[in-house]
Amino acid sequence: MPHELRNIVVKELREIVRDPRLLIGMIIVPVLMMPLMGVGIRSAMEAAQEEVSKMETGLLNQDHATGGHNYSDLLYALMIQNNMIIRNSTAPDANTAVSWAVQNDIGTLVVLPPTFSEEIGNGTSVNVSVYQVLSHFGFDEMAGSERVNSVFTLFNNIILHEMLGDNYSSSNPIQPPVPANVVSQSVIKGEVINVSPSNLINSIYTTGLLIPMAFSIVIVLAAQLAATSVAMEKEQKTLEVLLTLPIKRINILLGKLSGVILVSALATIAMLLSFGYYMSSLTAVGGTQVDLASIGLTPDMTGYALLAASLFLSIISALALAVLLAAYTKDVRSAQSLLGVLFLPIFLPAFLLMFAPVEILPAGLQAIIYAIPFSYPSIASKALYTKDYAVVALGVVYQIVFTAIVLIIAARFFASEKIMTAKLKWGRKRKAEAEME
Amino acid sequence: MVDFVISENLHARLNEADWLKDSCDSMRLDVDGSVSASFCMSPQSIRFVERVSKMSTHAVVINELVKAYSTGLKAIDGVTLAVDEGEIFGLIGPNGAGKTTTLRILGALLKPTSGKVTVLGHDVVQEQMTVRGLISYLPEDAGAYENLSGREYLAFMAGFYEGDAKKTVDIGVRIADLKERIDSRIKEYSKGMKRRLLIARALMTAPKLAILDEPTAGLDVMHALYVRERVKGLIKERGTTAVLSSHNLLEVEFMCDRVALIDHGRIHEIGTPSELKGKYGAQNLEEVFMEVVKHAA
Repeated sequence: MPHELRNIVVKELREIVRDPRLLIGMIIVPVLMMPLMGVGIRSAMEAAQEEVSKMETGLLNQDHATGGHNYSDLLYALMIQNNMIIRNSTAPDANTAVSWAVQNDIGTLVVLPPTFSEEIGNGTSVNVSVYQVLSHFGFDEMAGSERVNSVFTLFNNIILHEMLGDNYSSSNPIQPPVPANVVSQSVIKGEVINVSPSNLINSIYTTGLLIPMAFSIVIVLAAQLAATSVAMEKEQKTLEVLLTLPIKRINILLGKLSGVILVSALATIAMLLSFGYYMSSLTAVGGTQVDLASIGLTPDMTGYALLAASLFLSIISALALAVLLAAYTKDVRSAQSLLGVLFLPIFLPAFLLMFAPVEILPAGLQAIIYAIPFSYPSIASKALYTKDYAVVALGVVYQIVFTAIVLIIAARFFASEKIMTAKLKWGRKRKAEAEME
Repeated sequence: MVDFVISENLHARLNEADWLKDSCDSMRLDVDGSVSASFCMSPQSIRFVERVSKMSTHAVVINELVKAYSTGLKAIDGVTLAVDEGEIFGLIGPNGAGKTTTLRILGALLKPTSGKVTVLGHDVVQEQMTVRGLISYLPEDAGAYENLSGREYLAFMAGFYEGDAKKTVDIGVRIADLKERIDSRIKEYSKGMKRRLLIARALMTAPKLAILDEPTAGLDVMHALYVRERVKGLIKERGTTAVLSSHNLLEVEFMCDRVALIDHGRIHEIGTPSELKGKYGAQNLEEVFMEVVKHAA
């Protein structure tokens, strides 16, 4: 490396290493962020797996098999072998069994028709209804349904092997009719919907649950706008002039925030409008996408209002935090770097809630998610489908309280001389000398 | 016991009043700061002192000011001084001497650790809003909002003061004297143009006290000369009081009625430039400055 280039590189490194704001934002936060996200996501996955392992499978066995082949017994044995917890239903029909499953918190219901063994024994295909009770549209619910499907795949392979012997190969492109044809259906709020849970949950994820990531980006952009605004005022010393004018400090803070809030409100409206368009355009497409509107899974005005409120309040609280962080910096570069500490709480909930609903997470993780004000747009976007608005409404109240507290702290900060003198201190190295020009 | 804060002029006038001295048991009248003097005066003498005292009010009184930071280091360590109304007062000293901290406390930006500072009789801590209405503060190397035009910037600032904002802006435009460039974006301004705009902002509202931190720092000769003459002319014309800091001692000598030499947070000398030069047998303030700093060390 040429001497002059090395000289500049060494200077740059020294500047970064010796500036705690740059170091925190660009190195410490990213170093902590990915492991913490990994731990969080692993916990979410484990929670989902645990939920699946605990999920009970209901079995309404209407099979009239007498003597000869009793394929329902084989199926039962395979289910037990796959660690499924079976509860037998004595309901007279499938509809009653579905109600029984919903009431008894049973995740998956398998209904074997009266001709189950007979038709399989005759070499014909028999339809088996599998109902998945959906409450929060999580991966755990999808996994519950998939687990039953995999048992049926195994069951069919065994039957076909038995019937065709060595002539059967699952890789053969020409396949005989499957003995047990699984017809997956979803149960939402007690209503049977003739759509497989996998397709339904995938549709909800692609339409609704990726949106929190977009919301997170809006929140980060708004926070950057606010931090830059304050840092630029400090860097150019325009703030120093403002603070000596006959104007209340709180009005300086509110004025600064209002400008960014106005822009953020426009961003929220734009985001929600594009969200609405995105949803309508996706539901219009056929294929594996499920027309959520046709099965009554359309967000209503209450859901949209709560989503807008939680997103807007997230933005405001992020702005207030960003302003406070920026007050500890002296220039835009430092402010942008220090803002990195907000990235984890902004993105973590959006990531985690993609894998598991908050209610099945471990208690500690739940507490963290509920304590982070930026979690609520993610929770609200899911509530658009579950219609579970109570948590979101409480969350909005919490966000209002949180934002008010941060704003009060920021107002006090602005009213004091700390707005001029606050600096991050790095170990023992004090920077008071810099204050004393 | 009568408490007075007196200026140098008043001090001189009282010293000349032999009849007053004769009527007192003891008289200790120090320049600057809150001074306690024990008088045993006749009613006539007391009335005189009260009258003279009222005639000469102070724009700024700083008494035993201390500013210490969390590290314990004192940026200001017992500064006491007073600035008369209509006076241009200069603070000179090396980097880190405490000039900017003093000016920031005067501007109600920082709070004193101890001591008292008043601007036209108003405490800078207790009556911050009143003080802010009386002063105009210009930080060293201050910037302006780059995406506003010069005129928009002046209008924005004028909006915080009572009175006819348009008239105030017109005054600002005249002070800045940037011709048609007043309507250009500030980001297109040179450093000198920006400083002229900021000086205009600081003086257009006719503040009672102008606090100017290094008003000509970094400017070329032409802009510095313009700023220097404009500031001095306006301040004298309007009877504004000004406290400024500068490293340019020729500038200080040209602009200031009195100067204080500050180092390590302490005032080492106060006086008119001619008094200080006479005291140290110096040709100019630079020599005075070097002598004072040498003695202080």
